[in-house]
Amino acid sequence: MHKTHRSRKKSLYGKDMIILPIVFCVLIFLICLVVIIPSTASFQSTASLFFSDREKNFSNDYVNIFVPVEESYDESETSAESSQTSKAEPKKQETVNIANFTFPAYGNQFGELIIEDCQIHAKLFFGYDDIALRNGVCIYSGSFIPGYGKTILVAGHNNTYFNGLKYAQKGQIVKIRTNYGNYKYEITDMQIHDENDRSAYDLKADSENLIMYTCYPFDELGLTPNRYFVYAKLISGPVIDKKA
Amino acid sequence: MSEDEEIQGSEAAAGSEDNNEHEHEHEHRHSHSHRHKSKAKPVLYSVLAFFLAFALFLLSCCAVLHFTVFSKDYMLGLMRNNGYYEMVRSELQSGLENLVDASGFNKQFSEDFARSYDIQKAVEEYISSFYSGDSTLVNTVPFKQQLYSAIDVYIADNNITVTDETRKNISYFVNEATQIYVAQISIPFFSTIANYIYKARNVLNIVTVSLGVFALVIVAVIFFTNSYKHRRFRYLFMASSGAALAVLVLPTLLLLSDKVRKINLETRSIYSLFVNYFNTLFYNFYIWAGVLTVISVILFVLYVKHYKHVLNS
Repeated sequence: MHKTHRSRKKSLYGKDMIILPIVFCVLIFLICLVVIIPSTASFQSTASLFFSDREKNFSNDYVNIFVPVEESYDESETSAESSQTSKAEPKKQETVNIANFTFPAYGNQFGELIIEDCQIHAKLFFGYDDIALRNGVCIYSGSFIPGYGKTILVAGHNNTYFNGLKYAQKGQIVKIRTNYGNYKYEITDMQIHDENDRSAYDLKADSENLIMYTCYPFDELGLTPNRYFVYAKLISGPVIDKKA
Repeated sequence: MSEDEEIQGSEAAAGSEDNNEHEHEHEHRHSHSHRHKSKAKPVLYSVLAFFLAFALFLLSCCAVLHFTVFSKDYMLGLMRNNGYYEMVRSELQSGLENLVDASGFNKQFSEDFARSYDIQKAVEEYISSFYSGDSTLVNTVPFKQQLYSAIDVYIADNNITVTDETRKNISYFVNEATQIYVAQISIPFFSTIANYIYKARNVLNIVTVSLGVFALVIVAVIFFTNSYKHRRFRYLFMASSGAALAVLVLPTLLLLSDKVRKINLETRSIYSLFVNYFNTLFYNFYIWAGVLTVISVILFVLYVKHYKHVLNS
């Protein structure tokens, strides 16, 4: 009788009652894999482009990696004096090892830009975006950072941080302080170009030059189709040792 | 099928111990031809149960799609309940402030152009047009009118001399601001996707009805061709529980992959909408898995009840 009772119990909750639903489930997904997946392969490969490795950060805060380094240039210099010194060669060619500082990522504040004669004192960001432009001036990410020996293209809004560029004059000094060194440039020229005029800057230049630009005319209502370019050449600052 | 044999075996076992009449029946059932028949039948019913499970799984997917992806109310409800309009307002405000920084206006100028109510109205019009198959352009007329009126007031208040050049610059500013507005109101790729959704809606209805009829036919076959009631409920239970399992596994796999949260979308509002959209979609799958589970439990109870009845008789 005991054996019969066990047999009844076994058949009531038989293995098939558990295994078959699982088998059905597996089969359903296998069929989906075989039938649906190949037909949606192109869609899947396109969709995969929309995904990254980590969750996106939508914070309105920016990352600040700027830690001022000790001033290496003579603070007592005035713009007039600097005009004279600019004719001379830099006193000492300092270098900074690229491995010894944090290279700025897109949207990072890594320095500040100061033109005392134009009353400009702005945070310097790497890469253009709304947050950076709202908080300071930005280096175009297709150009280079100071010390690289190439063109540095800096943009800012004419209503805020670069409004002072309207006072720019030849010979004035532009200071850029970064997390790896301090740089001085001398303004050499100012020009007005159309916003689509690519001849206003040369991103392939072999010598370090600073180009700052903003919308022009200044204090004009509405968006303007012209840009005001201020050109400057390097006076002093450490060269980035790229080989290192 | 082993369980079928098992049940017959157990019935027979019970019979062999209880009375001779049942023993005789047991022997009769285990004759060669009957054994052959009893093996083929459960296999056939299991195959039918699998087809029913597959149909129920697809039906559940269709039902979820019908109440989510193909429903305008689902989209609008998500937008209302997850603060989408407020996020869009905030982003629009930020974009306009950035534009103002480059265009000679005061900071305060952009404060009144992004209002949640207006944004909600514009977004709802935009979404509704997709689901009704109408044109899918964002209506920018009210926004432009509001902007031009505010600029006129600003010029009058600040005694600004307006030249032809200024008019051009203002027009440029308004066009740029309108582009920001359109970018905020519209949803990327939605025009493409919604077009497919609109066209696929009728197909989905046909597929759903076809699957429903197919499932009902299989249920009828299982129900009316099985002489033992417990067997009917057993196969129906297997089908519904298999479907419940599949419906449960699908969103679980997708949620565990954690892909949704890693999507690269430009703005917080769109990202939040997308993540909520898919999470709610997955929860809908869980709801249907729950419905199928309840049906499975009922079928199992009926199976047990009828099986005991067979054993007792």
